[in-house]
Amino acid sequence: MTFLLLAGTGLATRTLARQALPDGPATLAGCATLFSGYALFTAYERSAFAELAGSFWIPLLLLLVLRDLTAPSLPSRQPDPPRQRAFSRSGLGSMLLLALVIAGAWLSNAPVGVMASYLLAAVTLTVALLAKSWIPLFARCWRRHAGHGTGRLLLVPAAWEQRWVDIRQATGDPGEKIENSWLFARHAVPHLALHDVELQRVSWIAVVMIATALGGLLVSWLRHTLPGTVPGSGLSGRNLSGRNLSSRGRWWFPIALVPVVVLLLLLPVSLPLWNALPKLRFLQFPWRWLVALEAPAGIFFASAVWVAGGGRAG
Amino acid sequence: MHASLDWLPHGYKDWDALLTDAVRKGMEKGKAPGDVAQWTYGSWHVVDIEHPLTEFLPLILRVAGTGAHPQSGDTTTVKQVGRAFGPSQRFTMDWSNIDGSTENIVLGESGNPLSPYFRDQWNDWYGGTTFGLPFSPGSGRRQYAAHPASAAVSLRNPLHRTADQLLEAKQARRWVGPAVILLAAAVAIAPQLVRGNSCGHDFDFHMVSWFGRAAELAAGHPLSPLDAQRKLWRRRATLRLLSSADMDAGRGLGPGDAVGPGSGWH
Repeated sequence: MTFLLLAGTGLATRTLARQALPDGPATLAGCATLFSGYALFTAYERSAFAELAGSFWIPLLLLLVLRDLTAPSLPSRQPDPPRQRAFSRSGLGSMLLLALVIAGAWLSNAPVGVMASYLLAAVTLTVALLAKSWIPLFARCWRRHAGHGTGRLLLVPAAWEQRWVDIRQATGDPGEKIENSWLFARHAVPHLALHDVELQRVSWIAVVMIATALGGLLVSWLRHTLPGTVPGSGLSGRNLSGRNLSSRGRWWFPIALVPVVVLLLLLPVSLPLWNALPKLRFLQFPWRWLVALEAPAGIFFASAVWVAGGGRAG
Repeated sequence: MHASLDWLPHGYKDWDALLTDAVRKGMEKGKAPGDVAQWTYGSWHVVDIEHPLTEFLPLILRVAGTGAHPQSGDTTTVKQVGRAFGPSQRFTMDWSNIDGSTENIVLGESGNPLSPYFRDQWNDWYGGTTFGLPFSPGSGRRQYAAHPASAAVSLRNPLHRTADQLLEAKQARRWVGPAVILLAAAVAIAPQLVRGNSCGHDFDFHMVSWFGRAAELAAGHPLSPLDAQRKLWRRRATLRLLSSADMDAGRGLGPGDAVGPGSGWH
């Protein structure tokens, strides 16, 4: 079980990274994700298989959203096969894939479902800002939200029958309060001693992952090897139109925002966000956002340390 | 033959009878057909190239061989060939026009019997034809431009398929990345293989929760016969969400599981 879940996470991250990196560093990104810290922490320290199962939905979600950012607006010289063309023209493919990913995230693990929904909204907004165009965004949004709704349909019975459970218990325990799980927080209360021990461990993991992601971003920036800017990646072979061509070099930007936002959410300054955004407190621990940081950390690490040269790889 | 009849072996009346009998015995030994008019040299002088492992894996590797084909030449002629013997390469260099050089190998450049390039030169080797081997940079493109009609011939020139073969190799390499990740996942769980499955602090209450759900469903209450199916579906959906919620209720000072004996849905 653990093997399958870790392998799925690595393969999903590799697929995401393959959009913007050559084959070699994309594979390295997938491997780095497995050993990024939080995945192993979830597998060994917590044995939280449900959350581990949800971890590979996040890279797939990013893949589908960022694919829109780089999708060609002009028809390719070599038209798609008829079946594929009909599939993509109707938007059915995007809708079904996104529905599967959203539904999979929700049904695997409710906190991952919450994170996937907010991540979807945030990255979509970022993509729209990068593209400086709302019209294609709306065109894609209806597919996306149709898929979102399709996935959520599976949860309607559960949402309707909340009376079966006392869901407040999930957020009422002091150990599960957001306010008690900030980065490196310590509490004088004896019954949170074990909680603090785990919090210290996961805080160090968070620091390492954020430092890896941001450090990798900085190094790859200096080396001019940012994802999406090196030849040999999945982007280089596409027939990109002007707008997408300009946004092609910024594929990394939404990914780079993830460690910044996760760092913000781990600090007490983000408490208004936790209070304002619906259902966000169901995450119980801010460090659960580390599951969304695994793929960006792996990708920026790979793009920073890949020595062979992106132009030759792939 | 005008030699003395005293030299004849016993049983032959003359030299013609001896020579006729020698030919007959030779044809019998060589299993020659009765009708010599239909007898061809190539019917017994063949070329038959086999994969080295065919002897051990005849059914699988039979496809890697050529089978027996009639063959001209001999081991003492200019075309020096035998059943499993012959030139592994036919290369000619025209120093007055190096782009007019030719090159041909026996089967093909690929070692994979399923590859289209495994046997693509065989017909030309067997038929005694060959391919141009231009040396100058761009000479291949010039040939296309100068002789469009020959493009079809040139396209099937295996020596011009470097790009195709690179693509083939690239397609083979696309499985390397996923394999590496599977290997990395195996390394990641190696401690569990050695020391047993990990039972982290979430493991216990998840197990209790899952077994509790199973027991409740097995009990079947409080379902009525009329709406049993509908309620069971709805309850399963609820349980599915909550059992996967991984909301760590019960840890720290909490009153207990979010779903379970204290949740009041029995």
